[in-house]
Amino acid sequence: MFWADRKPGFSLAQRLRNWSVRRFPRNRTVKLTQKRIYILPTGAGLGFCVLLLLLLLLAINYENNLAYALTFLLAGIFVVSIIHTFGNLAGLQVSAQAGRPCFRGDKAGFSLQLTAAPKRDHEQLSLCWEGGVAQTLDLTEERMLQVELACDAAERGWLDPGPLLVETRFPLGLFRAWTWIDTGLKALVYPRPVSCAAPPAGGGEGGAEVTGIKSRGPEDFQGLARFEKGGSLNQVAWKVYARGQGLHLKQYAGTVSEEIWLDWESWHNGTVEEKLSGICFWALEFHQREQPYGLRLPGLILAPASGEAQRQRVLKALALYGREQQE
Amino acid sequence: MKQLSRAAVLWQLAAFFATLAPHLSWLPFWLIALAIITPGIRLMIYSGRWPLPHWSVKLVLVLAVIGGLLLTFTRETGMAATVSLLIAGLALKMIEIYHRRDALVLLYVSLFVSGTAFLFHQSILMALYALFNLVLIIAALNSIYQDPLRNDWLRPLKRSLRLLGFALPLMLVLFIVFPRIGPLWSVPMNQNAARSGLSDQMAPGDISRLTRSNDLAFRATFDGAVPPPQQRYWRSMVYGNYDGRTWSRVSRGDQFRLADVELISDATPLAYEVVFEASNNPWLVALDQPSAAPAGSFLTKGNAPLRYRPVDRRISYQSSALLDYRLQPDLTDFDREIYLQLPEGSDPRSRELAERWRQESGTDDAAIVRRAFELFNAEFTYTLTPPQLSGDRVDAFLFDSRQGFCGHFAGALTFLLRSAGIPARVVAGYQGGEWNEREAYLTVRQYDAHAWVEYWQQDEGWIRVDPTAAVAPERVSQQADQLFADDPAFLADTPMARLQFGNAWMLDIRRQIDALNFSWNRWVLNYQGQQMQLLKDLLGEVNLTRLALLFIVPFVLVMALVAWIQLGGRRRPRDPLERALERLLDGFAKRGYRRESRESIQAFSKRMASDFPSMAGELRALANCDEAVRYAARPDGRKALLAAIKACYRALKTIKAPA
Repeated sequence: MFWADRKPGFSLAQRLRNWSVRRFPRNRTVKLTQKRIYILPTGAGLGFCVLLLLLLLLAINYENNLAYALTFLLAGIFVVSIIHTFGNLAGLQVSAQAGRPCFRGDKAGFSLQLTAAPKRDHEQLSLCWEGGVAQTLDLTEERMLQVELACDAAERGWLDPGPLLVETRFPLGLFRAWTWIDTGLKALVYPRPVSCAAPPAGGGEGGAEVTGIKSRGPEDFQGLARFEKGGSLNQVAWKVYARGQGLHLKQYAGTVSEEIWLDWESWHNGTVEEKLSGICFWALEFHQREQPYGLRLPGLILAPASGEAQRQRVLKALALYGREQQE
Repeated sequence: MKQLSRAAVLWQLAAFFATLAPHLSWLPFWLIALAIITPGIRLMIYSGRWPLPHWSVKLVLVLAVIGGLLLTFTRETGMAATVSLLIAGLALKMIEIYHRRDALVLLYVSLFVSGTAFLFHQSILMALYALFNLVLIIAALNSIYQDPLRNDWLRPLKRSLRLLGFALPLMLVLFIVFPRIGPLWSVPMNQNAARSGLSDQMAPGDISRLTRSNDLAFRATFDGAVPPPQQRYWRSMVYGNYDGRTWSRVSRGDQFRLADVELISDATPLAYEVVFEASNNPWLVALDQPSAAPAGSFLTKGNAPLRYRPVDRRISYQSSALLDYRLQPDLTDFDREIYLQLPEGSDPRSRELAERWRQESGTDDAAIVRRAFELFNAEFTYTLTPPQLSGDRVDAFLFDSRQGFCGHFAGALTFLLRSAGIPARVVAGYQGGEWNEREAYLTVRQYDAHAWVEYWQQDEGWIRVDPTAAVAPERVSQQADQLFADDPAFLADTPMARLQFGNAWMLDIRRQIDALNFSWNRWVLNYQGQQMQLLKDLLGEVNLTRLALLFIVPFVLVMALVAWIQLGGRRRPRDPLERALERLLDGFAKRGYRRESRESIQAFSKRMASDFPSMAGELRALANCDEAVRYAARPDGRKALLAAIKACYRALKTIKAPA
């Protein structure tokens, strides 16, 4: 395989990539111009050159001018296809939009917006993060396309997917035109939630008694309320639903008087990551039960609350625990 | 491994069949059958009716094909065997094209095979077909890189045409400039095409056989005035040997030039160029008398051009002729003996006649020739279908049948002259030809083949005499086709050609096609012969700088054009509605009113209605239509909107734009 085909590794190609990424300032929106598009023949392109050579030999040895003409016509196609391949990438506008958070071990999604050059088609563009799975798409009828490009989240904290590789071999596969874009996109990677049997009870601040989780006995059951949008599926009265009486939510006697704290200090076993995973699991659990919960980490206290905002606050704090605070 | 889309598979099939087609005429039958069966199998798999074949099935097929090739091409190792092997490979590959790589192999090999087609056919039609074939192959190549979900058949075709359109001028530049070098190693040629033409020996009936064919022998263009028909004697071979039955080339010496034959002339040489058809023989033609051998050949002792290699393809060469000359004024005793040689004791009556003439004429050799001409003129008939001769053939011809063709007369005259002690020889070649006034070239066909006589005089050298002219002077002054038009034997092998002579406009069409073919042969197929002259005409002086410029300047221009079209953005075919709206908005912009980026058509129309009261009605209609399209979704809404936009534009045009 020709080296233009190779995925970047620790080599000349990688150094070239780093250099080409550093040449341009980080930018949310990038228009691909000839300055940042590289183009080289592919393996198939080199094969085509061998074919041209064989045809030329045929023409020379048989002194056949029509064979010469065919050879030259194919050589012309080879050269013209450089511009076609280049034109398939040039003028494309790539806007980095946002990184979607995920749990460790999942895939973080990054949304990008591609805008076609005016009055031009871009076919078979392939986008990928380094080492990631490429996504191939066309920009023909649609002039603008929203792409979600996934990247493996192996570590907790901020995930930097690295430079974005945009490449194409259209129309004949003889050349590969590509560019690297430093999008500056980042995604938050939360700890992987791992269920643990029961969270240890934590000591409340100021001596208040705190229970980790309150068991739901039948005595707490207060009644049914009509299901409303956004209601937790865990609280849906499925038996009632099965009787054909519609969706209802089970209402429990609130744990009003008791505050739930997820306290770092009360997790005694396991490594930092295991502890964080456990806290994460229970945070999600309480969120789903719509119970207010607080978080106590060394150097950080989040007051008990419920709702989506609290969930994000807590997960972000867990994701960045022990990591350098970056924004 | 990228899988091929269904559209791509069908494109591969189209490219394969298009590549195969020009080879159908010579491929062995079983290979054609294979090439039809395997795509059939692929189609059955494609349509889901058959499963993918088991590996054992493929193995059996491969072994069968190898066996077939070995049996068919037992001894030949030429291009036919190679191309057959490639086509067999393509046919087998056809079964299993699933992935992009399979298709690449198929298409690259197809490109090579389509190049080899030129070894078998080189006509204009073939070239056009090859271009068509290339369009299909490039489209097939594009189709494998297309979105597999896109079911657009035409898209690859359009892309292919766009690529080829710009590759054509690049090809032209390369074709003109690229230096033509000789073969790097010798290659076996395609021998299966039997050619007609002169042979290296002449039995008296042989040349009349050639008149049955209107195959092209050669074409010639002249640098000066075209010589008159009486001087168009194209010598090809000199027969000095007679064995009582056939005339043949002198075995000793004639095939090699031992010493330069002296040729003396005050005339300016007439330069000309010949495009000679493949004959598989080494002899060329040269107008009487060639002063120098064409490139790649030499002049034999009889001053006829002989090529070092057989003419296995159409060639072109330059030569020059001296129409007024003295050839070999001194004859060595060795040569004298050759040109006086006669078979022992044959044809006593002819010898007797010659000796009688010798006694009556004394030392005047010309008088003996005159006597022979008088004899031929008075009592002989010129015919394409003379009776068969046997025994002492010259005697039988001179005293019994008295009917013959140019070969009979030339042979008999040479025999008589030799009997009278005058060195003489038969010259075979072509005489006459058809002059194409429009394109200024001479076409000589096989039916123009001719034989005449040269006899030798001290100090004057070899003198050309044509005994046929004594019998049928019109043979020399007229074209053969006009002369023989009524003879049933003429063009007996090509009845269609005979028909053409009867009809004036048919003849004209034939001439035009012939002229086109001639230009094709000269400028394309034998371009290497024209290259230096053309480059000189184009550049004035051929040097590396100018050659580089000739290549680079058009190259850069074409590439700039491609870049401009590809990158400058071509106009997409748009909705007429969008186009009309853009035109209207441009009209307003020219008058200083721009639509805000977030302003709807409705809001804009309302705003304009207050500024252009004269067209408020149209603008209101436009606003209403726009609303109807957007919110009411009426089926005829777009049509009404288009009409409203157009009405607005017409109204706007009546308002003058500020200067």
